[in-house]
Amino acid sequence: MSSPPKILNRLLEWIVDYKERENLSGDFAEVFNNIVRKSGYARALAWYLFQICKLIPVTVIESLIWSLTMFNNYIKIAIRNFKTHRMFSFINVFGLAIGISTFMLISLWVQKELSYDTFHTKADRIYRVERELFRDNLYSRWPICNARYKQALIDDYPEIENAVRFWDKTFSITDKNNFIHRQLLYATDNSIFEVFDFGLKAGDEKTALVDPNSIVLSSENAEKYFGTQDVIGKSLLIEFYGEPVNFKITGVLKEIPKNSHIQFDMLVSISTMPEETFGIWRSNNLYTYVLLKEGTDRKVLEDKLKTFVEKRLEPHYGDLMLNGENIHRVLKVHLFPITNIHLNPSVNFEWGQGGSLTAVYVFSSISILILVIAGINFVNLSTARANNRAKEVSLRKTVGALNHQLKVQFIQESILLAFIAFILSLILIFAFILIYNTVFNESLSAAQFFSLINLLVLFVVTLLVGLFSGLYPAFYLTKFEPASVLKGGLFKGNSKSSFRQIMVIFQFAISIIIIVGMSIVYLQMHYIQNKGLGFDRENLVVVPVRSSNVRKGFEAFRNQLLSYGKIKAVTASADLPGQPIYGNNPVYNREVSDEAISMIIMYCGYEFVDTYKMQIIKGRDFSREITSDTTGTLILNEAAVKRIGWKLDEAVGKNLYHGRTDVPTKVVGVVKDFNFRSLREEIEPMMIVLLPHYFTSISIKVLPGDLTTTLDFIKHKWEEMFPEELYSESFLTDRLEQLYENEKKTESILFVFSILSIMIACLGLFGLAAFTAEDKTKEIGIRKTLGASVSSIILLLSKEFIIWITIANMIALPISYFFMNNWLDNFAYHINLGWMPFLSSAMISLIIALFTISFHVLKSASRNPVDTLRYE
Amino acid sequence: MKTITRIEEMIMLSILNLGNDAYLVSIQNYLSEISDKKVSLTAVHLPLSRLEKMGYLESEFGEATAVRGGRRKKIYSVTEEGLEALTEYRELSNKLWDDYLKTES
Repeated sequence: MSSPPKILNRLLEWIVDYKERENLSGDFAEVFNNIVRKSGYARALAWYLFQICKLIPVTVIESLIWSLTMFNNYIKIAIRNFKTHRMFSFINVFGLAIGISTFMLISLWVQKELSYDTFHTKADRIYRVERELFRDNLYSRWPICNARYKQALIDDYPEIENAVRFWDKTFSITDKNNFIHRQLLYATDNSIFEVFDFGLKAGDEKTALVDPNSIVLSSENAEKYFGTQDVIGKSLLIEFYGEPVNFKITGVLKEIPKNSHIQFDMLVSISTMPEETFGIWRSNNLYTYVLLKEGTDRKVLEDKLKTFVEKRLEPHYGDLMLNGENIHRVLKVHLFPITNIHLNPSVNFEWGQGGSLTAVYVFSSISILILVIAGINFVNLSTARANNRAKEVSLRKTVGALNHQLKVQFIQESILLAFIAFILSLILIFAFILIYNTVFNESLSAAQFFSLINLLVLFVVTLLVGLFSGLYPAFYLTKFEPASVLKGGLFKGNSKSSFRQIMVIFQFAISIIIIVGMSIVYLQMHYIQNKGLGFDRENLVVVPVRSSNVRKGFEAFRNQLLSYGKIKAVTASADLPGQPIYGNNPVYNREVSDEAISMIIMYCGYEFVDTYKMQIIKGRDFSREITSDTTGTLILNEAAVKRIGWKLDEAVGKNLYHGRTDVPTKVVGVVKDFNFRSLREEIEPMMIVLLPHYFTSISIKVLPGDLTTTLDFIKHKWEEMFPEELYSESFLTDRLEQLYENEKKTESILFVFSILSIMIACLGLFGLAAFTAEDKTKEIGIRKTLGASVSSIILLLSKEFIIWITIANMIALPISYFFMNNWLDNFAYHINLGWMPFLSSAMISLIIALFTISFHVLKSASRNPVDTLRYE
Repeated sequence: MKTITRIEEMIMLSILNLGNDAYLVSIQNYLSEISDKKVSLTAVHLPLSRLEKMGYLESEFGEATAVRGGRRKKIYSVTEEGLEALTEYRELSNKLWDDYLKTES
């Protein structure tokens, strides 16, 4: 005797009508047996399977019809519930919508951060050649190398298919109106078009950057210099190492995607650069990217690069191994994947600002936390509403609803609410993108957001949130005993639900952390903007200079201005605080070593130090009287002296080498460190070089009071002396503000976050307060009849909440202290963490919470006990 | 009274003939033997449920056997209404036959 396989039997029992489950499966087993006896097991099995297949469509259709019927009913009930408890439902849906849209917006940003450089078709094979140095137990990463690396690498390693170099240069370019612009451009190889996906809109990608003195430029620059897009074949006059050279335009660049860490407006062929500008092997001046052949293992190749270090580099790095040190322990050539560069930028010599992996983590976790807060609300409010649903559940049970059907009902209902929230969040996201673009002047596109994949993710997230937030209420509500609920009239809910308490505490803890974070970011920003910078930024008027006309007449102009009583000092300079200074220039202290020291070079005219009220601590400022100052003298800042390794006293009078020349420049003075760039950065070594005849702006120190007249005077003088030149002016303080745009963005984003999170948490608290108040209706009534005062009842109702918020504070404050301490370490100059932001955040959270619950508390405390006790 | 179909008539008659042992598989076997055709389980089961719903059949659980994996049989029997419907069907059928034979002769 044989029986059908157990699993098939189960399946059969599952699909047949449960009322006939037993006899039918018995019947099938009997027939199965008969067939086995007649025609063998295989035939019987085939028959059995066939029967199951025949039954499936019927079962599916049956169950569909039934669930649709029930679903119809569930929706009807859900909508009725929605209507009778408008406020609850609104709080529920709105809170969730905010949570979902925040989550999605942040993931949009995270997506952008992670997508850097992935648009290159060969992105997985492109690496940047970097060097890692371990000297005196210090690790440093150098993304730049010498121009000769490229050819040597291609010659030595067949695995390297191609390579591109980028050499940043700042040249002066003359435009069609004879205005001179300082322009950042890159000298690069023509292979840029083979390795990367950068392309030309016009021009031949095969030859554009092959010949010397070729230049390609962006459409904006074409407009800027020629006023037209049709520029191929025209020529551009560039001051190339002191001589005016005509460059031939061979192409117009396509727009570079925003998510590329490599950004440029102009490219010149690297063949333009004379061989001698490459310097020695040890002078590192440009970025080199290599394209590996398909199937090359980076690790294996990096290992092979050891021979490159030995063969090509070791002869030049003798001093590193004075103590018999092995070169491989000191110097490594490293291939850095291009897609990792944006989030792991090098500290030295990086393109632009780079991204921050921490920011990606922080913002993603905040967004998930907000989603969690919103989800918790959903759960809390649903369970709090149990009162209203208890009767329905009991009635459904009495007429035969099974537990699992009720669960399905509640989960479906919460998914339905989640989908209303989904639609609302789409609207919110759309609105946000509009506002964001106008406020931050960015170009997030809604179309990009509402892509299929994003919508799909959003949809799945909604589904999951609906499911998870429906689960707890579903299990909680189906536990009711119908008899006691229907008999007792009022369902006595579990008011001391520890689950709900924990959830509220958790929500508030998160909100408090975000509030503390925001206030500390705010304080730090305030500190930065008001900190002493090492120079006096107040009352400095800056007038940009665009033509050589003004440069020729500057001295006369200056004398005219100084004759006016309210003008204290006038200077001219090519660089200004708060304006990016391009290039990390290699400076050599040749007497000691050939290793380049990276320094900022600032070009300025006479009296610059004086006008900006910087402090000379050793030596002197440049002087008009000493004619030798115009040829090869410089002033260093303290950081530069320290980097070179000199003592403050011995710096003045020493020689340094920079630029192309082999002429030494003499240090005439040392200036006290000043913050030329953002306070985020440590003060970098800087040399100030006198360049009296070339400048791009005039800085004028004025006396406070009656500014309009002073400004009018300046403008009037300018128009008198340079009638054909455009005049514009700005205050230095305004320009400096722009340095902290990023931090300001972070600040406002955090501000929005903290408002959002506290708002959602308060929505939840509001609902819970309503629940507690309702739950204690009877108790309050009895207390009042016995003579309790309104104030004692208010205290009774608020006590619980105050305890919750206090616990939340106790959890949140240490955590936020830890995080914010870490964040402040990012700044070279930062505030000390006092107790003020913590105390005030705690107070704020408490006040907001009390304010939120006050509505319900006051309402139930002032109710007439007659009304509340009448139901008995 | 609702009319029954031919297969339903056949099944009710089989149940009457089988006596105390009328359940799904025995009915199927009996019908297959008598008609000398293969009758499928579903072809029997669907009319059975329909007849039961109409009140022409009633059922009770019988004994469980090893061959059925220890599951009980659902034994059917014909109710009073069932018998009436059966008789009515037969009378109608007879009438129709009579009329046909008359015109034939």
